[in-house]
Amino acid sequence: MELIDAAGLRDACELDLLLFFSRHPRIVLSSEHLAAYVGYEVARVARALDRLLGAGLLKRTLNHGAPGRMYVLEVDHVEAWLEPLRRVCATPAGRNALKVLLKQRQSQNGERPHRRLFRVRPS
Amino acid sequence: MPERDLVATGIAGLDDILSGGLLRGSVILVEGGAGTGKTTLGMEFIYRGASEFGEPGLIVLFEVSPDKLIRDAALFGWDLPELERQGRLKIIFTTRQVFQQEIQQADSLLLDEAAAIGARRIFVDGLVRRTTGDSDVGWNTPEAFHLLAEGLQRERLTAGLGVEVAAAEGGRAASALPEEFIADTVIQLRLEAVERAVQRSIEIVKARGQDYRMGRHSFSIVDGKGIEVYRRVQAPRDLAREEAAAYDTSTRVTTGVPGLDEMMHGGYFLGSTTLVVGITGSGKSVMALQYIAEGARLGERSVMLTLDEPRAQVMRNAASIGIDLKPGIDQGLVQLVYDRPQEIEIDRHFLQLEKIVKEFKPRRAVIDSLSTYGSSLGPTGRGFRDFFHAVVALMKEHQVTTLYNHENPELLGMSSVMGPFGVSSLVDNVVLLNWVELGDTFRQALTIAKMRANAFDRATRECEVVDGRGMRVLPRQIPPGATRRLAFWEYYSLVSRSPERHVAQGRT
Repeated sequence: MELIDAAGLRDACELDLLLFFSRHPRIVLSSEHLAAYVGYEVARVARALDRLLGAGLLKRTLNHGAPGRMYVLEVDHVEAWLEPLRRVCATPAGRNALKVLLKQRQSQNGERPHRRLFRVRPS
Repeated sequence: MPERDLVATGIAGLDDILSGGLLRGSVILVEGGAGTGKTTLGMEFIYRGASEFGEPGLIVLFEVSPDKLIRDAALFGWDLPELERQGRLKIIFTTRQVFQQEIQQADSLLLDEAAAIGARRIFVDGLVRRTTGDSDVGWNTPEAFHLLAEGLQRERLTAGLGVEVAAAEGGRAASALPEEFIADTVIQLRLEAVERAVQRSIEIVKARGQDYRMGRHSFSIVDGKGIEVYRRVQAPRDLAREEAAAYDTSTRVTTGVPGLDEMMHGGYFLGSTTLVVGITGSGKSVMALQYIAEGARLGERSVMLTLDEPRAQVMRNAASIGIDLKPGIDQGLVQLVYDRPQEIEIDRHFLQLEKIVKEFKPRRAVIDSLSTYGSSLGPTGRGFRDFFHAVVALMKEHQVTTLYNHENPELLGMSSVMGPFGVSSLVDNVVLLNWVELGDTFRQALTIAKMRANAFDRATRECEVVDGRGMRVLPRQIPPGATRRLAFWEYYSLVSRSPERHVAQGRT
């Protein structure tokens, strides 16, 4: 739970995106490709990306006219808790346990799932 | 002639094959099937550039995730995250489709990223090659490749492109495809079956605007080091080096075998090549050990390269004939080098030998034995012949007087010096060691069959190997009373398997 708090995670999609970015800290991908990699719907990925961007964990560069966007994990912001998070999620059991916790927290807080918290402007 | 702006790859042995490196701004295709080492080569090219040559680099990946690349790099001791922290490296993950569209943009994000760190090198891993008959779909068309090359050239990046080639093509397409015409340099990596083993090979198929060594060279991927390329042993040698191998007919190198120097009028010529031929147990290794021991006695450096016996066994054999090699080894006068003959990688092996010759600078050398090389490389193919040519040239260039032991399978006599190996014309001297059956005894015979530029004793002489004392050639005339045996001179046809006594002697 401390890790979830430190990372500011709200749902499983955010967790999986963050883990993906930890393995691929600098990517150029379209939203569709990114969604395919992490296995969620495009709209849900977009919302999770907005949250991560808004929290300053990611930096995104747009390139008008091209389908790819560059995402860079802001390592300085995640160094303290990213490795422990990766270690916990290194096994299916650990990752699932975190997802259960995230779900529980969403229920306790009465949050609607996948709520958009930040409005992100393209950089 | 304008000076070429070469980019050293930093990969051990590769720059030698490329005659110094790659031309700056080149587009290099690194082609090969799965597991041939494309990613490792590309990764090392970027790593060496960033860490050793002050050339930041970009790695673009489609399939391998960056954290796996970082993990694999760590096995070689390459700290990629540290280079990223220092702003000398960026690793970018993307898809082929996005990459194709991205690279064509005037304000390409990828090229912006390269410019941001002042990148001079880029490696793009995982392009898939269009094979003949494929429809032109997606990014993978000659036109798209041409645009990619243009984009890279615009930035003056030296670019390596890892291209997957289907295994069915055997690592090489039947005909060149358009990408190869567009690229400046084409490097092909292969896994080649050698009997039941597999060896890695690298070939520079094309290198526009620069000289390079053609043919398939071997390479290894070594933990803690990276790629090591071994120039193929049959690579042509420079004329200047050939001239350095001029034959010296004034300096002799003593044999270490009592009686043999007299037969040769002083010993082998400096830098000469001597073949010692005989069946197992006929004394070839003993002769070799005495040759090495003689060098140590005279303060001359010697190297013995053996495929037949490990070092400890060689030293034990030497001790049995009264030779203690340890002091010579301790004093830096003797080197014993053993390499396992099974699955020998001949290019690597030759490079090791070349390094010893250049650094240790021996005056004497023994290769024990050619027949084992023949068994490993095959006696009739080019592998053995090319290796032997290269070793002889190397030794002559460095004026190392070298004995090559060769096991002849014939128990009695000798009808052919080298059988199917057929390289005896390369050697200067040939010494035959034979068993001769006289009465109920096998006696040991030594014949000098060839000695270039030298008048030598052509008689077949008896020799003996005595425990604790080694080999010696007996006098032609046995002193009266010294033995009850007849001397060899009292027979004829000793080496042709049917020795007979001279009737005229009338002795029984």
